[in-house]
Amino acid sequence: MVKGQVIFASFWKRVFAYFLDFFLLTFVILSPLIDPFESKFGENISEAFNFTFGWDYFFLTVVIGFLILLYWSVMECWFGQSIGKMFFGISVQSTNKKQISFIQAIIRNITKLSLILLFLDTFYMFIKKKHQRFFEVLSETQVVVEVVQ
Amino acid sequence: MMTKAVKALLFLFCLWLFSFSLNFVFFNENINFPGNEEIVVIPVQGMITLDGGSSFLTSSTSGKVIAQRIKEANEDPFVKGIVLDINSPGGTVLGSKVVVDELKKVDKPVVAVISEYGTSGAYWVASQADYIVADDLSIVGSISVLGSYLEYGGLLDDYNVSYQRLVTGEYKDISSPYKEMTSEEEALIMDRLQGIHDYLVVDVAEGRKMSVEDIQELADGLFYLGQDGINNGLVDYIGVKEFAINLTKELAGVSGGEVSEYTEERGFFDDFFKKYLSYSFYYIGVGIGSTLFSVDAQGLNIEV
Repeated sequence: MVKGQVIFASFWKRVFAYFLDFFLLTFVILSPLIDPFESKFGENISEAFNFTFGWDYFFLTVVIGFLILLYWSVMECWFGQSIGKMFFGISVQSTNKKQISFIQAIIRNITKLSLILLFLDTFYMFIKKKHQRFFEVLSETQVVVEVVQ
Repeated sequence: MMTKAVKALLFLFCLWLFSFSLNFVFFNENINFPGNEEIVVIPVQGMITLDGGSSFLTSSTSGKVIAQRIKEANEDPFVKGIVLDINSPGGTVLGSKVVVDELKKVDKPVVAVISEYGTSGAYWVASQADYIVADDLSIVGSISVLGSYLEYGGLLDDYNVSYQRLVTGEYKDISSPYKEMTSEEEALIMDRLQGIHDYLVVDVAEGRKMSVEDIQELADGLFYLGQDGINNGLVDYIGVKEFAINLTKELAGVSGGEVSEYTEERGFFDDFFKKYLSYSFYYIGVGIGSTLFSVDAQGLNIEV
């Protein structure tokens, strides 16, 4: 390995890290909000759509979206990696190999608010045969194998 | 100096704390914010039976499900009032009673709106609401009990088929459709039907805050139009669902608020038969048609 060489994190490591973070978010951070969500909108999706979406739904959606974005952005900006990425030994850096800014972190994680957007964002990697999602290209960030210093 | 992992976990805990605080402040059952209020519309549509279900010819709505929805609405701190959207000819005694029993426990404003018809067991349900709203041409009332059934004894005789009576108790086959009912058996059944009738009359009178005598006078099985209902006390207001929702909001002291409505999934045959039967007297107080569709193994099916 040449000094200063960038080793991109493998796709599957990134996927597993994402799912680990996803479970942490769902069952730890968002767990206090699951009960009110279910009680307001039903436990299954068909029941949920029988309700008129109103203020409660909007508020909960905004809060959950905010927490999701906050988790990934702060973790990657402060520590260079989320807990999932720590577990799989990968980290995020700027394309100039520096620590990413908060704005960069928000831009690269914005698609995590929607699975469809994240899928499309990730699909870009396969089309362009790159190691970066579309929003990683936009934010000038990349996910690399963690460098032990 | 804290390691990166410890800092990360600390941050995770902070986020959880934030989430927990939000839940405590905004979704605490004891704290209500303006705008959180909700009026729930619960449909009571079609024939009411205890468990509901459908067959090729017809379907019924479950009294248990309606009662459960009423219970949930009553326990939900966001729900400030309940509207019962009634379009039903009634149903089985217990199917209606479970709904009535649950309504008696409700401590929130309840308004029943009768659209096309709210008769018999469905009117019993409506009577437990604070107010009844109906269209001036809605069909209401028909406070009585039905236990009629088809008897095939004569038909079997015509075809030289005999009913072999094998019972260990004298009245075990009291309502069997395969034999002619004796006058003694008829008296016994009528006595029980009268018992249910009296129970129904007292309950409706209590619900409507009218005297038992007044309801007794109206409880001859006859149906009334909404406008007649205003005159005889069976209906409080002439109006439609929107009126009922606004009335509920007014009673609950809710100015804006969401209106949440349960919807019923109906199959092709439900719609087909609903349209077909709309033109018959089936809808008037559960007629012979419903008995045809719901005769059980014993023949007799008591409906209100």
